[in-house]
Amino acid sequence: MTAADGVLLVILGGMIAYTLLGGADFGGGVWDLLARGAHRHRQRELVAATIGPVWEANHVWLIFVLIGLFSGFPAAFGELARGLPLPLALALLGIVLRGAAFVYRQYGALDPARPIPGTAAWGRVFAVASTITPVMLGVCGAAVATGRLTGHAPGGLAAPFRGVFPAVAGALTVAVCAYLAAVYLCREAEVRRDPALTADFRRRALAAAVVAGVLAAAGLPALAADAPLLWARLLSRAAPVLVFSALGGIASIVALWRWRFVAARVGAAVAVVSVLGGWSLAQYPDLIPGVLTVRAAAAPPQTLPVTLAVLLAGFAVTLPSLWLLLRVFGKPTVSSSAEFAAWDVDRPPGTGVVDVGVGPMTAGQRWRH
Amino acid sequence: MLDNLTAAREQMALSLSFHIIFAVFGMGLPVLLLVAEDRWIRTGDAVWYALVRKWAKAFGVLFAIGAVSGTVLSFEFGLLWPTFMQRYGGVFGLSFTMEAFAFFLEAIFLGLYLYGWDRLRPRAHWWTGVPLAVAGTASAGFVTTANAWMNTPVGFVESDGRVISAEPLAPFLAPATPHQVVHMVVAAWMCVGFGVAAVYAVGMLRGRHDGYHRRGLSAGLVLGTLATPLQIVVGDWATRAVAAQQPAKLAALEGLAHTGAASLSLGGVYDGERLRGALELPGVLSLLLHGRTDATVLGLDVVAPADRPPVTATHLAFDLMVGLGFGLLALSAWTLGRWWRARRGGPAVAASRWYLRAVVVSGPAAVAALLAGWVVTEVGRQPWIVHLRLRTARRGGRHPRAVLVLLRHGRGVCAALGVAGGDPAPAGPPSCRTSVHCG
Repeated sequence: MTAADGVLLVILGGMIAYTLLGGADFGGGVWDLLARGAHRHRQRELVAATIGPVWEANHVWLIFVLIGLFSGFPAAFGELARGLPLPLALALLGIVLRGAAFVYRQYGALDPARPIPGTAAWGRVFAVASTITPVMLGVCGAAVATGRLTGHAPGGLAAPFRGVFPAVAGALTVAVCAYLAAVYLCREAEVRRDPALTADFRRRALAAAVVAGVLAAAGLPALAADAPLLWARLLSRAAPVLVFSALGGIASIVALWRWRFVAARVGAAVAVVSVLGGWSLAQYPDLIPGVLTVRAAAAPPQTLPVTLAVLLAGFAVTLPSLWLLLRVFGKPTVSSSAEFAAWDVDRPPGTGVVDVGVGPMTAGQRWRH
Repeated sequence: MLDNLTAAREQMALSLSFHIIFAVFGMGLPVLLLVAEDRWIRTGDAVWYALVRKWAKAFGVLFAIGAVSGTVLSFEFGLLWPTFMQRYGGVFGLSFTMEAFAFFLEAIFLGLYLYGWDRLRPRAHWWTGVPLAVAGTASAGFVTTANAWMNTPVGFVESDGRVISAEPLAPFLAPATPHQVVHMVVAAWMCVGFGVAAVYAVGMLRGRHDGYHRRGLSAGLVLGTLATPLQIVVGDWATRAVAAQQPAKLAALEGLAHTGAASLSLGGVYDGERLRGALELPGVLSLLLHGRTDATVLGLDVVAPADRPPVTATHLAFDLMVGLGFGLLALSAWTLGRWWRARRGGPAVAASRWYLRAVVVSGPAAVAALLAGWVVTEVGRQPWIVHLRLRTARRGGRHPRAVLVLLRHGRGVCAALGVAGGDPAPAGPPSCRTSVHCG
């Protein structure tokens, strides 16, 4: 194993972290968009309370993936940027819109006596943008797997979107994000002792699981048709990993059915990690099939060991700091998610409720002190 | 409709400008937070506490906006400049890797700082602000090394347009790194110092002369007035370094058409051959750079016309930056004078409305100087994206038009975001319900 492989593993780790954390974040936005029924306001409140604290920490993984790519495999970064300009630009637009809507909603309504007009509109923006980005990132993944990049396949800017597989992959990505979020929200609703919300999100999670399952089943023949080499490798090298993924998915759904939400989260994570791992295993050493291998795309050889060392050292410092953060706050006492009130500077320390703001916190917990 | 290259340049310039305004607060505000919180811990004066809580909250918002705009930049590096990233990404990648970790650490300690008020003892809480300040400054320092490398690229071997070997620490070994990093850090302190002071000066002009405003004003002013004289010295260092490392950039920022004994030109417009309408101080530039009025300074004539940067823009931006810098130096001196008189029983520093108005202007002035400085260094490096190695025009993107349109829409959203983000931290203390910060 070379330093290049090491950097690749770190990038894969970043992708997994982004899918699990950022994906759940996007999924929350999807449920905000699809909030229905008698409790829809509480559903939206729960989503907002859950996303608020962890928003930045969820999306920092995307930065690491991008930086790992251009530091370790700059040729691939360039080719991907050239080959996927439209889906990447749309994904970015989604990220920016989400960021704008999020900050606006989070910090804009500080004074209840001065409600900001158009807050509901920003809510819509947030929810729609939350759906666009996962779809686009799914399309990007599919395009890389099948070699359908602008300039390398017919269709110009629309090349990554052509065919069945990218559409399935995009939809599947949203479905998985929605499932991850719903499973998470079940647990959050349970902790808040809200049986109606818990039941709501459990139903939604099951629905998302069905949709994801159907799409995954549809995706396999589409992948086989569009990327026969990758398909063959998936079956030969990565078969055990795919089986693991299926088992994880099934276990998650069974746990969900039986109202065991923590186990459901674990199963879902196993399924997601296995799919990403299996895909990487199958595609290796082609970074972009038909275009670039890992070796061809790698940065100048002297830089790779240093890049890898810095990445590992960096995580060795930051991950324990993250753990320290979570430890300092320990187990929170939980207040109702409706108390999404701004912190009031007039209250002397030791009383009142601290508002949720930015920062990598255990999601959804409110601190009462 | 702009051509693709100009549209891409414009998009990048706007994204960078937007991001840097929020990023400087990430660097400078922790310093103020640490000082203010230390004052509170030592004196128990609740006004300091109120200021710290307010600033911390503002910091959270500014950090969030800075983070989103930073994500935009990561994408835009690839979408707008794929050839540049592909060819040299491996050489300066370390700068960004270090920056990403510094940012991650900053986010973590920001979480501790914002939420740890009642979970940590006061001094322990204060200590969580230290990594915040260090990581924020380090983050900006690392990113600046990447830009310094673009100006003075070292540490790699190229063959046939491909980099075949590279020194891992290349960006940190770039000759421009020391002066660019120091100049940027001090600029951030100036922006934050005068920016914070300006906010409280506005409140004071509206009649709120309470302890809250006075301390907020003084904290900002101390940072600004300490940073400014230092920045003048650093600026001199930077200019000399640029004269040695990038003579065409120096010639452009000074508007120097011909090599030889050089005058200092203030203002003026370059018409392709010489600067017209400038105020000329004969021999002064030679004197400043080399100590003798007859010393030779390289002019624009050492490079072919196609290799010259846009001179008027670079020169006027430079004059604006230096002019504002000296203006802020004058304000610093005035501040010192007023403080000295106040100590001897004279009127309070904030008693003069004209002085307060000057402080109000100093906030945007410092930011304008910051942006002008970046125009100088980026526009002055043209037509190169990597000095003498890769031309900006060789962007390499395919079908960029639709992408540029999309990014332009994103820009509009960012503008709205900036407006929304500016709202939650208004001037003035929270409502006067307790005696903590009234009077």
